[in-house]
Amino acid sequence: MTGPGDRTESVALWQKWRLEASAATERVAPDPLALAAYADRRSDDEAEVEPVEDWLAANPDAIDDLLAARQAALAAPPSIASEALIARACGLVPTPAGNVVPLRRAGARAPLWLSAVRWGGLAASLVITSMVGFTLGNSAYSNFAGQPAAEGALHELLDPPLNVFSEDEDSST
Amino acid sequence: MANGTDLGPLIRGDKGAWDGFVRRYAGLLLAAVRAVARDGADIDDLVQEVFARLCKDDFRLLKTYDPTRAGLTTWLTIVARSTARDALRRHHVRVTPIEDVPEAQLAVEDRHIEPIKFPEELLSPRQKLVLTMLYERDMEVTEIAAALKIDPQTVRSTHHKAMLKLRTHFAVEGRPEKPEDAAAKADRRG
Repeated sequence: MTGPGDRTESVALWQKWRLEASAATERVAPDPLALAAYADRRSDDEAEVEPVEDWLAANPDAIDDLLAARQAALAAPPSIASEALIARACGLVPTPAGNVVPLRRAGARAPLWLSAVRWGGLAASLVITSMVGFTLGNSAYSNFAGQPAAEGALHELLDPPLNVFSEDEDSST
Repeated sequence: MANGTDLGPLIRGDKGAWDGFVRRYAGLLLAAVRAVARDGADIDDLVQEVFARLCKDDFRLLKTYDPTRAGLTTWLTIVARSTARDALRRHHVRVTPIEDVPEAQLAVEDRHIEPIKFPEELLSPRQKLVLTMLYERDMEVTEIAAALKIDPQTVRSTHHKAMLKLRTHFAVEGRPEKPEDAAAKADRRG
Protein backbone atom coordinates (compact mmCIF):
# COMPACT_ATOMS: atom_id res chain seq x y z
CA MET A 1 0.00 0.00 0.00
CA THR A 2 2.73 2.49 0.97
CA GLY A 3 6.52 2.29 0.93
CA PRO A 4 8.62 2.68 4.09
CA GLY A 5 9.25 6.38 3.40
CA ASP A 6 5.59 7.00 2.73
CA ARG A 7 4.67 5.15 5.94
CA THR A 8 6.97 7.35 8.01
CA GLU A 9 5.38 10.45 6.55
CA SER A 10 1.90 9.05 7.01
CA VAL A 11 2.60 8.18 10.64
CA ALA A 12 3.93 11.66 11.26
CA LEU A 13 0.83 13.28 9.73
CA TRP A 14 -1.47 10.99 11.66
CA GLN A 15 0.27 11.70 14.97
CA LYS A 16 0.13 15.43 14.29
CA TRP A 17 -3.60 15.19 13.65
CA ARG A 18 -4.04 13.13 16.78
CA LEU A 19 -2.28 15.68 18.96
CA GLU A 20 -4.24 18.62 17.66
CA ALA A 21 -7.69 17.19 17.13
CA SER A 22 -8.32 14.14 19.25
CA ALA A 23 -8.83 16.00 22.53
CA ALA A 24 -11.26 18.47 21.00
CA THR A 25 -14.36 16.48 21.74
CA GLU A 26 -15.04 14.21 24.68
CA ARG A 27 -16.62 11.12 23.19
CA VAL A 28 -19.25 9.28 25.17
CA ALA A 29 -18.60 5.56 25.30
CA PRO A 30 -21.29 3.61 23.43
CA ASP A 31 -23.26 1.15 25.52
CA PRO A 32 -22.14 -2.49 25.44
CA LEU A 33 -25.03 -3.47 23.19
CA ALA A 34 -24.01 -0.94 20.52
CA LEU A 35 -20.44 -2.24 20.63
CA ALA A 36 -21.65 -5.83 20.47
CA ALA A 37 -23.94 -4.99 17.58
CA TYR A 38 -20.99 -3.45 15.75
CA ALA A 39 -18.85 -6.50 16.52
CA ASP A 40 -21.53 -8.81 15.13
CA ARG A 41 -22.14 -6.42 12.23
CA ARG A 42 -25.86 -6.98 12.24
CA SER A 43 -26.54 -3.45 11.06
CA ASP A 44 -25.04 -1.23 8.39
CA ASP A 45 -27.02 1.78 9.54
CA GLU A 46 -24.54 4.67 9.50
CA ALA A 47 -26.32 6.35 12.36
CA GLU A 48 -25.46 3.36 14.54
CA VAL A 49 -22.06 2.52 13.07
CA GLU A 50 -20.39 5.94 12.93
CA PRO A 51 -20.55 6.82 16.65
CA VAL A 52 -19.02 3.45 17.48
CA GLU A 53 -16.21 3.85 14.94
CA ASP A 54 -15.57 7.38 16.13
CA TRP A 55 -15.27 6.19 19.73
CA LEU A 56 -13.07 3.22 18.77
CA ALA A 57 -10.71 5.54 16.91
CA ALA A 58 -10.37 7.63 20.08
CA ASN A 59 -10.05 4.55 22.34
CA PRO A 60 -7.83 2.08 20.49
CA ASP A 61 -7.75 -0.32 23.46
CA ALA A 62 -11.40 -1.09 22.87
CA ILE A 63 -10.52 -2.50 19.45
CA ASP A 64 -9.16 -5.51 21.33
CA ASP A 65 -12.58 -5.89 23.00
CA LEU A 66 -14.15 -5.99 19.58
CA LEU A 67 -11.78 -8.64 18.28
CA ALA A 68 -12.05 -10.71 21.48
CA ALA A 69 -15.85 -10.59 21.33
CA ARG A 70 -15.81 -11.82 17.72
CA GLN A 71 -13.43 -14.62 18.65
CA ALA A 72 -15.54 -15.65 21.64
CA ALA A 73 -18.64 -15.87 19.50
CA LEU A 74 -16.90 -18.30 17.16
CA ALA A 75 -15.18 -20.64 19.59
CA ALA A 76 -15.98 -22.42 22.85
CA PRO A 77 -14.52 -20.70 25.92
CA PRO A 78 -11.00 -21.95 26.65
CA SER A 79 -11.39 -21.51 30.42
CA ILE A 80 -13.26 -23.71 32.87
CA ALA A 81 -14.54 -21.98 35.98
CA SER A 82 -13.96 -23.55 39.40
CA GLU A 83 -16.84 -24.69 41.58
CA ALA A 84 -15.86 -22.09 44.16
CA LEU A 85 -16.17 -19.30 41.59
CA ILE A 86 -19.53 -20.63 40.41
CA ALA A 87 -20.87 -20.97 43.96
CA ARG A 88 -19.77 -17.45 44.78
CA ALA A 89 -21.53 -16.03 41.74
CA CYS A 90 -24.66 -18.09 42.39
CA GLY A 91 -24.77 -16.58 45.86
CA LEU A 92 -25.40 -13.14 44.36
CA VAL A 93 -29.04 -14.10 43.89
CA PRO A 94 -30.54 -15.32 47.17
CA THR A 95 -32.67 -18.40 47.59
CA PRO A 96 -36.35 -17.47 47.34
CA ALA A 97 -38.34 -16.91 50.60
CA GLY A 98 -40.60 -19.94 50.02
CA ASN A 99 -38.05 -22.26 51.57
CA VAL A 100 -37.82 -20.29 54.82
CA VAL A 101 -39.52 -21.95 57.83
CA PRO A 102 -41.86 -19.36 59.39
CA LEU A 103 -41.50 -18.53 63.09
CA ARG A 104 -44.36 -19.30 65.48
CA ARG A 105 -46.83 -16.45 65.89
CA ALA A 106 -46.24 -14.23 68.89
CA GLY A 107 -48.76 -14.95 71.62
CA ALA A 108 -49.35 -18.54 70.60
CA ARG A 109 -50.37 -20.52 73.69
CA ALA A 110 -49.15 -23.92 74.83
CA PRO A 111 -51.65 -26.71 75.43
CA LEU A 112 -53.61 -26.41 78.71
CA TRP A 113 -52.34 -29.64 80.20
CA LEU A 114 -48.75 -28.56 79.67
CA SER A 115 -49.39 -25.32 81.56
CA ALA A 116 -51.09 -27.25 84.37
CA VAL A 117 -48.11 -29.59 84.66
CA ARG A 118 -45.70 -26.65 84.75
CA TRP A 119 -47.56 -24.73 87.42
CA GLY A 120 -48.25 -27.90 89.45
CA GLY A 121 -44.60 -28.77 89.43
CA LEU A 122 -43.69 -25.30 90.59
CA ALA A 123 -46.23 -25.46 93.44
CA ALA A 124 -45.07 -28.91 94.52
CA SER A 125 -41.46 -27.80 94.63
CA LEU A 126 -42.40 -24.84 96.79
CA VAL A 127 -44.32 -27.08 99.25
CA ILE A 128 -41.49 -29.57 99.52
CA THR A 129 -38.93 -26.82 100.03
CA SER A 130 -41.11 -25.29 102.74
CA MET A 131 -41.57 -28.61 104.53
CA VAL A 132 -37.89 -29.39 104.50
CA GLY A 133 -37.09 -25.95 105.72
CA PHE A 134 -39.65 -26.16 108.52
CA THR A 135 -38.39 -29.55 109.66
CA LEU A 136 -34.80 -28.48 109.77
CA GLY A 137 -35.66 -25.32 111.58
CA ASN A 138 -37.83 -27.11 114.14
CA SER A 139 -35.14 -29.72 114.82
CA ALA A 140 -32.60 -27.02 115.39
CA TYR A 141 -34.98 -25.26 117.80
CA SER A 142 -35.71 -28.43 119.72
CA ASN A 143 -32.03 -29.25 120.08
CA PHE A 144 -31.31 -25.78 121.28
CA ALA A 145 -34.22 -25.83 123.72
CA GLY A 146 -33.25 -29.30 125.05
CA GLN A 147 -36.60 -30.76 124.22
CA PRO A 148 -36.89 -34.23 122.70
CA ALA A 149 -37.47 -34.17 118.99
CA ALA A 150 -41.13 -34.68 118.21
CA GLU A 151 -42.08 -37.65 116.20
CA GLY A 152 -42.19 -36.83 112.51
CA ALA A 153 -42.05 -33.53 110.73
CA LEU A 154 -45.61 -33.98 109.61
CA HIS A 155 -46.79 -34.20 113.26
CA GLU A 156 -44.89 -31.02 114.02
CA LEU A 157 -46.40 -29.33 111.03
CA LEU A 158 -49.99 -30.39 111.67
CA ASP A 159 -50.05 -30.38 115.48
CA PRO A 160 -47.44 -27.97 116.73
CA PRO A 161 -46.60 -27.99 120.49
CA LEU A 162 -48.60 -25.55 122.54
CA ASN A 163 -45.58 -23.59 123.62
CA VAL A 164 -43.98 -23.10 120.21
CA PHE A 165 -45.22 -19.59 119.72
CA SER A 166 -45.28 -18.74 123.41
CA GLU A 167 -43.26 -15.82 124.57
CA ASP A 168 -43.06 -17.15 128.18
CA GLU A 169 -39.40 -17.57 129.24
CA ASP A 170 -40.20 -20.59 131.40
CA SER A 171 -41.25 -22.61 128.36
CA SER A 172 -37.80 -22.24 126.77
CA THR A 173 -35.95 -24.20 129.41
CA MET B 1 -33.33 -16.12 22.32
CA ALA B 2 -29.77 -15.89 20.96
CA ASN B 3 -27.32 -18.64 21.94
CA GLY B 4 -30.24 -20.77 23.21
CA THR B 5 -30.46 -18.97 26.56
CA ASP B 6 -33.82 -17.63 27.63
CA LEU B 7 -33.19 -14.62 29.83
CA GLY B 8 -36.86 -14.12 30.70
CA PRO B 9 -36.95 -16.16 33.94
CA LEU B 10 -33.49 -14.88 34.79
CA ILE B 11 -34.38 -11.20 34.78
CA ARG B 12 -37.53 -12.00 36.76
CA GLY B 13 -35.21 -13.16 39.53
CA ASP B 14 -35.59 -16.92 39.17
CA LYS B 15 -32.86 -18.47 41.30
CA GLY B 16 -32.60 -21.63 39.23
CA ALA B 17 -32.29 -19.63 36.01
CA TRP B 18 -29.53 -17.49 37.52
CA ASP B 19 -27.59 -20.54 38.71
CA GLY B 20 -27.89 -22.09 35.26
CA PHE B 21 -26.72 -18.85 33.63
CA VAL B 22 -23.70 -18.69 35.93
CA ARG B 23 -22.72 -22.28 35.18
CA ARG B 24 -23.08 -21.78 31.45
CA TYR B 25 -21.21 -18.49 31.08
CA ALA B 26 -18.66 -18.48 33.93
CA GLY B 27 -16.00 -19.94 31.64
CA LEU B 28 -16.65 -17.30 28.99
CA LEU B 29 -16.39 -14.45 31.49
CA LEU B 30 -13.28 -16.00 33.03
CA ALA B 31 -11.56 -16.10 29.62
CA ALA B 32 -12.60 -12.53 28.83
CA VAL B 33 -11.39 -11.18 32.17
CA ARG B 34 -8.15 -13.14 32.08
CA ALA B 35 -7.20 -11.44 28.79
CA VAL B 36 -7.58 -8.01 30.37
CA ALA B 37 -6.16 -8.64 33.85
CA ARG B 38 -2.66 -7.63 34.76
CA ASP B 39 -0.21 -9.84 36.62
CA GLY B 40 -1.21 -10.25 40.25
CA ALA B 41 -4.83 -9.29 39.67
CA ASP B 42 -7.37 -11.52 41.36
CA ILE B 43 -9.17 -13.06 38.40
CA ASP B 44 -11.95 -14.58 40.50
CA ASP B 45 -12.73 -11.22 42.09
CA LEU B 46 -12.95 -9.63 38.65
CA VAL B 47 -15.33 -12.34 37.44
CA GLN B 48 -17.45 -11.80 40.55
CA GLU B 49 -17.56 -8.05 39.74
CA VAL B 50 -18.89 -8.89 36.28
CA PHE B 51 -21.64 -11.13 37.64
CA ALA B 52 -22.46 -8.52 40.28
CA ARG B 53 -22.80 -5.88 37.59
CA LEU B 54 -25.14 -8.13 35.62
CA CYS B 55 -27.55 -8.73 38.51
CA LYS B 56 -27.22 -5.31 40.12
CA ASP B 57 -30.34 -3.15 40.50
CA ASP B 58 -32.74 -5.96 39.68
CA PHE B 59 -30.77 -7.15 36.63
CA ARG B 60 -30.85 -3.68 35.05
CA LEU B 61 -27.94 -4.34 32.66
CA LEU B 62 -29.22 -7.75 31.64
CA LYS B 63 -32.58 -6.22 30.83
CA THR B 64 -30.91 -3.93 28.26
CA TYR B 65 -29.73 -6.89 26.21
CA ASP B 66 -31.53 -7.23 22.90
CA PRO B 67 -30.94 -10.53 21.07
CA THR B 68 -31.98 -9.01 17.72
CA ARG B 69 -29.00 -6.62 17.81
CA ALA B 70 -26.14 -8.85 19.00
CA GLY B 71 -25.29 -12.34 20.16
CA LEU B 72 -25.28 -12.98 23.90
CA THR B 73 -21.72 -14.30 23.85
CA THR B 74 -20.48 -11.19 22.05
CA TRP B 75 -22.33 -8.89 24.44
CA LEU B 76 -21.14 -10.72 27.56
CA THR B 77 -17.53 -10.63 26.39
CA ILE B 78 -17.66 -6.88 25.89
CA VAL B 79 -19.36 -6.34 29.26
CA ALA B 80 -16.80 -8.56 30.99
CA ARG B 81 -13.78 -6.86 29.47
CA SER B 82 -15.01 -3.33 30.13
CA THR B 83 -16.04 -4.19 33.70
CA ALA B 84 -12.69 -5.79 34.42
CA ARG B 85 -10.83 -2.87 32.93
CA ASP B 86 -12.85 -0.38 35.01
CA ALA B 87 -12.27 -2.41 38.17
CA LEU B 88 -8.52 -2.59 37.55
CA ARG B 89 -8.41 1.14 36.91
CA ARG B 90 -10.21 1.79 40.21
CA HIS B 91 -7.98 -0.48 42.22
CA HIS B 92 -4.68 0.45 40.63
CA VAL B 93 -3.20 3.62 42.01
CA ARG B 94 -0.46 4.98 39.84
CA VAL B 95 2.34 6.53 41.83
CA THR B 96 5.26 8.26 40.20
CA PRO B 97 7.97 9.53 42.54
CA ILE B 98 8.64 13.19 41.95
CA GLU B 99 12.35 12.48 41.35
CA ASP B 100 11.36 10.46 38.27
CA VAL B 101 9.44 13.32 36.68
CA PRO B 102 11.60 15.43 34.34
CA GLU B 103 11.93 19.01 35.51
CA ALA B 104 10.63 20.26 32.22
CA GLN B 105 7.26 18.71 33.00
CA LEU B 106 7.09 20.37 36.38
CA ALA B 107 8.00 23.81 35.06
CA VAL B 108 5.23 26.32 34.59
CA GLU B 109 5.59 28.59 31.62
CA ASP B 110 3.27 31.45 31.03
CA ARG B 111 2.56 31.27 27.32
CA HIS B 112 -0.46 32.21 25.39
CA ILE B 113 -0.97 29.64 22.66
CA GLU B 114 -3.64 30.17 20.11
CA PRO B 115 -5.28 26.76 19.61
CA ILE B 116 -5.42 25.61 16.03
CA LYS B 117 -8.92 25.65 14.66
CA PHE B 118 -9.29 22.13 13.43
CA PRO B 119 -12.38 20.91 11.62
CA GLU B 120 -13.64 17.96 13.62
CA GLU B 121 -15.22 16.46 10.53
CA LEU B 122 -12.04 16.47 8.45
CA LEU B 123 -11.82 12.70 8.71
CA SER B 124 -14.82 10.39 8.82
CA PRO B 125 -15.14 7.97 11.74
CA ARG B 126 -14.25 5.10 9.40
CA GLN B 127 -11.12 6.90 8.20
CA LYS B 128 -10.05 7.69 11.75
CA LEU B 129 -10.58 4.09 12.77
CA VAL B 130 -8.57 2.71 9.83
CA LEU B 131 -5.67 5.07 10.54
CA THR B 132 -5.79 4.18 14.23
CA MET B 133 -5.64 0.49 13.45
CA LEU B 134 -2.82 0.97 10.94
CA TYR B 135 -0.58 3.36 12.83
CA GLU B 136 -1.41 2.84 16.50
CA ARG B 137 -2.30 -0.83 16.61
CA ASP B 138 0.13 -1.79 13.82
CA MET B 139 -2.48 -4.01 12.23
CA GLU B 140 -2.19 -5.37 8.71
CA VAL B 141 -4.67 -4.45 6.01
CA THR B 142 -6.11 -7.97 6.00
CA GLU B 143 -6.54 -7.89 9.78
CA ILE B 144 -8.32 -4.55 9.59
CA ALA B 145 -10.55 -5.82 6.81
CA ALA B 146 -11.49 -8.85 8.92
CA ALA B 147 -12.08 -6.71 12.02
CA LEU B 148 -14.29 -4.23 10.20
CA LYS B 149 -15.86 -6.87 7.97
CA ILE B 150 -15.01 -4.96 4.83
CA ASP B 151 -12.93 -5.68 1.76
CA PRO B 152 -9.12 -5.18 2.01
CA GLN B 153 -9.30 -2.90 -1.03
CA THR B 154 -11.82 -0.76 0.85
CA VAL B 155 -9.30 -0.45 3.67
CA ARG B 156 -6.62 0.73 1.24
CA SER B 157 -8.97 3.16 -0.41
CA THR B 158 -10.12 4.55 2.94
CA HIS B 159 -6.52 4.99 4.03
CA HIS B 160 -5.55 6.75 0.79
CA LYS B 161 -8.43 9.23 0.99
CA ALA B 162 -7.70 9.98 4.64
CA MET B 163 -4.04 10.69 3.95
CA LEU B 164 -4.96 12.99 1.05
CA LYS B 165 -7.17 14.99 3.39
CA LEU B 166 -4.46 15.23 6.04
CA ARG B 167 -1.78 16.32 3.54
CA THR B 168 -4.08 18.92 2.06
CA HIS B 169 -5.02 20.28 5.46
CA PHE B 170 -1.48 20.55 6.83
CA ALA B 171 -0.36 22.13 3.53
CA VAL B 172 2.52 21.06 1.33
CA GLU B 173 5.18 23.35 2.88
CA GLY B 174 4.65 21.85 6.31
CA ARG B 175 5.14 18.36 5.06
CA PRO B 176 8.39 16.59 6.09
CA GLU B 177 10.72 16.16 3.10
CA LYS B 178 11.13 12.71 1.66
CA PRO B 179 14.74 11.48 1.52
CA GLU B 180 14.64 11.14 -2.31
CA ASP B 181 13.37 14.74 -2.62
CA ALA B 182 16.21 16.00 -0.41
CA ALA B 183 18.76 14.09 -2.56
CA ALA B 184 17.26 15.50 -5.77
CA LYS B 185 17.50 19.04 -4.40
CA ALA B 186 21.13 18.54 -3.43
CA ASP B 187 21.93 17.32 -6.99
CA ARG B 188 20.29 20.37 -8.52
CA ARG B 189 22.35 22.70 -6.30
CA GLY B 190 25.53 20.82 -7.02
